[in-house]
Amino acid sequence: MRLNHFLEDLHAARRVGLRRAPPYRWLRARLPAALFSSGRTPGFLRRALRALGPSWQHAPLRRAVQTTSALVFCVLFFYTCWPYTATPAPAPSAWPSHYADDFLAKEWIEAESLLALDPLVGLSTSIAAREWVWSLGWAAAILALCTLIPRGFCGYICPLGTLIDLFDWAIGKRLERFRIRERKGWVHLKYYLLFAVLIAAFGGVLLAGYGAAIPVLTRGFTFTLAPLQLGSIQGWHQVPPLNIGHVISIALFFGVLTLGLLRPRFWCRYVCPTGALFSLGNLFGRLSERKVESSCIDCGKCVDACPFDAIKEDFTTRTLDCTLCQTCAGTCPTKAIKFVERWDQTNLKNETNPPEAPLSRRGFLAAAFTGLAAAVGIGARAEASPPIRPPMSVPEDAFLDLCIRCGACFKACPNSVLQPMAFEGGLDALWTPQVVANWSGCDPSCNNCGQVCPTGAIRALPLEEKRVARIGLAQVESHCLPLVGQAACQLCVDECATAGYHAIEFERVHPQLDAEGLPIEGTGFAAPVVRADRCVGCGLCQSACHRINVVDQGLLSDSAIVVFAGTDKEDRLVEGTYTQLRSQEAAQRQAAQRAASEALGDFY
Amino acid sequence: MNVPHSAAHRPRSTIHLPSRWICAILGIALLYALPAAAESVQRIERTEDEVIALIEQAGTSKPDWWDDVPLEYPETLDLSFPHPPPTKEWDARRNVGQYMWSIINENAHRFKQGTKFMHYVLKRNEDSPQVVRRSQQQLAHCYHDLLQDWARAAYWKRKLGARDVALAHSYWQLGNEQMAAGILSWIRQDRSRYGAAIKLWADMGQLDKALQLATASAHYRDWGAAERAAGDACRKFARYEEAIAYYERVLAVKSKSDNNLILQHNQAHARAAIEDIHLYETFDLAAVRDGTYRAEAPAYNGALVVRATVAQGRITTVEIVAHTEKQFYASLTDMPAKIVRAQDFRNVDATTGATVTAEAIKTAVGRALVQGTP
Repeated sequence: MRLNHFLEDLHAARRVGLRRAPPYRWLRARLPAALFSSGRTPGFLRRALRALGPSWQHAPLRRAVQTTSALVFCVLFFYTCWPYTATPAPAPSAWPSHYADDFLAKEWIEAESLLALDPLVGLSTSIAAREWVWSLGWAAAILALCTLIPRGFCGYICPLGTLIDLFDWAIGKRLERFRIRERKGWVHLKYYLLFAVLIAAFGGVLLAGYGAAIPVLTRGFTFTLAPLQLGSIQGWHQVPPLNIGHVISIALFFGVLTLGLLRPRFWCRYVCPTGALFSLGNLFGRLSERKVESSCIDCGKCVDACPFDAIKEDFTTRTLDCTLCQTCAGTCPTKAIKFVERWDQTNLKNETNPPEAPLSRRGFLAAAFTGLAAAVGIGARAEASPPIRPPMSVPEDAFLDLCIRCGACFKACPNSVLQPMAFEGGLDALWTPQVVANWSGCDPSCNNCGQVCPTGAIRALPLEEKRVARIGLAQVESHCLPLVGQAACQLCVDECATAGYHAIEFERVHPQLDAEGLPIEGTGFAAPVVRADRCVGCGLCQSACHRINVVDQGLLSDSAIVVFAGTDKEDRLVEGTYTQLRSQEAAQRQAAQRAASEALGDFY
Repeated sequence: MNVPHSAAHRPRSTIHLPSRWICAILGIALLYALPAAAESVQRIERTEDEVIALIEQAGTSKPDWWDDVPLEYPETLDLSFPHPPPTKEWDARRNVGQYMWSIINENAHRFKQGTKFMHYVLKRNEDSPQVVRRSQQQLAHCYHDLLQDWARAAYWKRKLGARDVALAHSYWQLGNEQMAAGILSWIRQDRSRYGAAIKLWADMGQLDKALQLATASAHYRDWGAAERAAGDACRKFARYEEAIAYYERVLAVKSKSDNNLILQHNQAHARAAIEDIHLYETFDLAAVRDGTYRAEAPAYNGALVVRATVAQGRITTVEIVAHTEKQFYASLTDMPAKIVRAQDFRNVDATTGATVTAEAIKTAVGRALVQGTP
């Protein structure tokens, strides 16, 4: 078995077989001769790759796969999860569905694919929530593939790794003064972190979101590039203000990148817990390895070329860190590096690897302590007024165990109804999504948040479900303009009716009475009354009151209709449908009415 | 959410918020009333006997919706319907009349429910003549004002022995103008809150009788209601200058109280009607002086400002100068283009799904252009 695909090897293979192939000969006869290699001068492709840089020259396949993966990530992030291409249907029905339809039309592969591919996402959420998470299947698949290409995910697929490579190319290699020498033992940091994450997950607290590769990248983009996209295309007034949670996440994201100043791919090699999981995966079933043959001349070029520091001082492989990117093989002047099955021992330079600094018991103890402390410390949840979660979220405890804090729902949410929490819900709720109804209401034609959630914290249910799933209950506050008799206003009622819920009705208050005590027609104020059996808590009413009465007119200091979440105000189902729940309730109501009216006869 | 019509006729934002909404509703009601009047030309005429037979037949049978509407009402209501109500303070969940007034009247989806409830109250209290009378009054009100079921409205009015504008209106709606006029001629002064008799004369096509009654009623302290109805009547007969004169008299009425809601309603209506006449009925693009005009109208998220340029009787450019809309961007580019293409801001279809923003653009352009008319 040979997995050699660095350019020199591909080139050698082509010399033998490809050149005789009819399509090659057909092309060669028709295209300019300068495009093809002749004797000493390399062909156009090789010259182009050389111009792109040594890693492209030596490992083009890896760079091509990496670029494709990064582009897929960017298309999914900036295009599929961009809700503003939706336009309402020409004949608006009672229940429009333009946001959901538009999203489905653009989702030619699952928007959360790369998040689901991160094995730590599936693993830690399913441990923390103690249930099967669908992305665990993907995680198993990618881990299985990596037995063939150890840490292949990090070198070939991970878009965060690609971004770190880009950072190194653009900035890192031009700012050498921060470079430090590697210290033995650093390579173990990521295992301790992974261990701490898993211990915390067993304790029911999800730490993976802070460090797992794809959530870190998705959240980093959501809080940095997404606002730029939103502001520049839709207008800066649409960008919600930052809170301390945003600031911390942005700082962490830039921290991940600036670690690259210390050494290239510092994050991936020493910190990334997802990377640690791949390294561990290799321990159990690694099939292929990088080998150095005895023709090695000890030039050391491979050590310099390796972007992962996976080559030891004696040029053998630090197998748990090797991504099989094959840059080293391309740089090797004697072609002494090969990628073959693990048990291939022919012509090896050194048969045995010298031992590395061992994982320390102290390190694991410290990690276990950290994980437990996090589980206890963070697990003590703040019991203030509960946040309004996205529609179709699972019950709060399970939600916190499943939400990986990737921020994908913020990106896909039209008008930024969903915004990240800071510390108001305790450390445990940091970066989890909540409905900020003062900013915007949840559009009845949209179920994007459930569609992009990689862990099922927000269930991916059809739009019919979302429309009847209660996330809270609106409450008219005592300072409501018509309620206090200050002014007529029906913003909330109109908003609710147009959305199709018809959950707010009028009650005329403060009538002027005539001498007989009868109300005078046209006097008094029509105040809003929420119908609890119809309100789903979308917050459209609250945002209407806030943007007109508070912001635009300055009549109030706070919205006079406010959505509250909490027991009896929201439905959080783990399984089963919301439409069933509603029809059961309706059947109960009808039975009661029938009993009452049957006693009265036909017409009275 | 974008509400069709709701922003179309909101007046200038200098007006206090409540009146903006009332204007919007009344403005829309008026717009609907105009085509309705045109349709009434083809209405069915009935003889007096036919009308009375129709009323008796309808009043003693159940309405077609009856079986689909469940009997529903708050458990807390005192179904003996006493008057005056036992509680001194207003309590719409205890007192039947207050429930009808505060909750049923205010919500279209409860009209049938409330009507069925009043039938139920009537049935329950058959032995008490006062309660029967109060319930019949409520039923007449429900069928006339809420359900526009003219035959049943007339049935209950006749049961009560009342000969008022509502009965006249029902007769007219049922197809007999003489019966209506027979009642109306007895009315020497329109003491109804919004000039109902004046309006009915105008609806029946008798503008001079309407104006005559308005003149006779103007001395009555009705807070501009008679002038307002007279203005509406003139507007309906395309006598815009007279209409504006009547509306301006409404605006000139003074009240010592800051909380005179009836006057506030009438003045808001008059103000909106004057603007609508300028914007929609008497507007002539050819008369607009060359120049650039700027105006604003309330849109979905707040004020939307447009700048329109007119040269030689043509709208050359329409620009959105400022806005705070969060969605429905299509209308921000679409509507100005449509207005320039159509050379009109009135008969331009709103951008699909963006009605509020689109209507705000139309209104703002109208307000801008009106500035250039003499």
